[in-house]
Amino acid sequence: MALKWRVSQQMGGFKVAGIAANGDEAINMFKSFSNKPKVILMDHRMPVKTGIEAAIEILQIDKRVKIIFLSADVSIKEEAYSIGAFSFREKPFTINDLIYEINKALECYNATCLINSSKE
Amino acid sequence: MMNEENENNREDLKKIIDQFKQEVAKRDQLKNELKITLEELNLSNSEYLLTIKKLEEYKESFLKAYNRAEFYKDLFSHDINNILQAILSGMQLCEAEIDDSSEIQKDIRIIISQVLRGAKLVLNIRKLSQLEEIKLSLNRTEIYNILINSIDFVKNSYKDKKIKIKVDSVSKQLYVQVNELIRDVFENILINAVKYNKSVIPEIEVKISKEQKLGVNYLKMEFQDNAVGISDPRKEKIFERGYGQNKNVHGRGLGLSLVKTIIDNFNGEIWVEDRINGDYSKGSNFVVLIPEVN
Repeated sequence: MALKWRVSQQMGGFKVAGIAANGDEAINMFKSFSNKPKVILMDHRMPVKTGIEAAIEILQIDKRVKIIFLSADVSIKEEAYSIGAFSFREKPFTINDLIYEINKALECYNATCLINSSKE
Repeated sequence: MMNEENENNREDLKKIIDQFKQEVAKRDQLKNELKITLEELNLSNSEYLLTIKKLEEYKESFLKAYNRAEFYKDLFSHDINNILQAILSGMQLCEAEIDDSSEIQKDIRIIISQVLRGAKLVLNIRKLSQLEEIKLSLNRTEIYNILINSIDFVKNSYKDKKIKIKVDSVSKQLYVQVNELIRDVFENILINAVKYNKSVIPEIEVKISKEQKLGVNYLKMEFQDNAVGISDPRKEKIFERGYGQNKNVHGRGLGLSLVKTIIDNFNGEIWVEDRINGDYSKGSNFVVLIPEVN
């Protein structure tokens, strides 16, 4: 909850729809939203289901959602892009980097942009 | 007459018997030799099989060690970066909360810079290990623009400092056979020239020319700085791995050994000279040679 408050209060005022503890929870949470979030910040190495597995299922439910991978596992970068992730940020990243990435994803969502973010 | 004929036949028969005896003796000798050879062959074969078995065992234990090292490397880079991420985010959120003039703010900035340093170290270790595992493929690359981007990156990294970086190049289209790691080479050399610099304004001049050496056409890049300089006994050591771990020495350590490994992979050369010959305290000249392509 502290994280949720901090993200909404201090990180550019985005509204946080929910925080999941693993990939499976993320899928179920995403299914449960009548008003789907526009951006998902996704880790990869998580219990029950990995970020890649969760992203595949979530994108099958809603192709428009922009998934930003935030992971210390750089070996999955290419795979993340290949399954349709919006972008990949390697940990550790700064908050400014994260805000920039979320804004870019939101812009793309609103413009119904279908392409991935540039692979920096 | 009859007796004489019999005598002759007996002689012939004797000769034949002698020849036969000789052939039998020869055959026995060959048989013995063959037996010895066979024994030796069996011995060699069992030695050979033993060697093969030992090689298989070494291969297996090498693979186990390799997999263990890979596991530790993965654990190290993944988990350390996760820890660094938690510290970095926490510190940046505190930074935003605390008054700018507060003393704690200074401490927070030190923590943040150390976290970023740790992240850079992890990245460098990963790159070094990648370079050792596989010789990354080289492509024809235009590097003048990469250099300009690296200069912008360095200037942006030290926004609070006035830094002068000048480029004097034979051309603005410089093609060499390298890969994306060339950016790390430029950034490491440029950042060192700013980081280990006591001048009021750090100044770097990058001179780019062409040089032929042993029939190979090279692009020669000289990074001349007004930093603290490198004394003669340290000129080669700074490129050695682990050198910067000596606390009595400014820690250029892993950064420059990474640079050297990358340049070696490009079939190039790197060394350091005094900017002003004979007076190292006036700054350094890092010389990089990279094979040129048309």
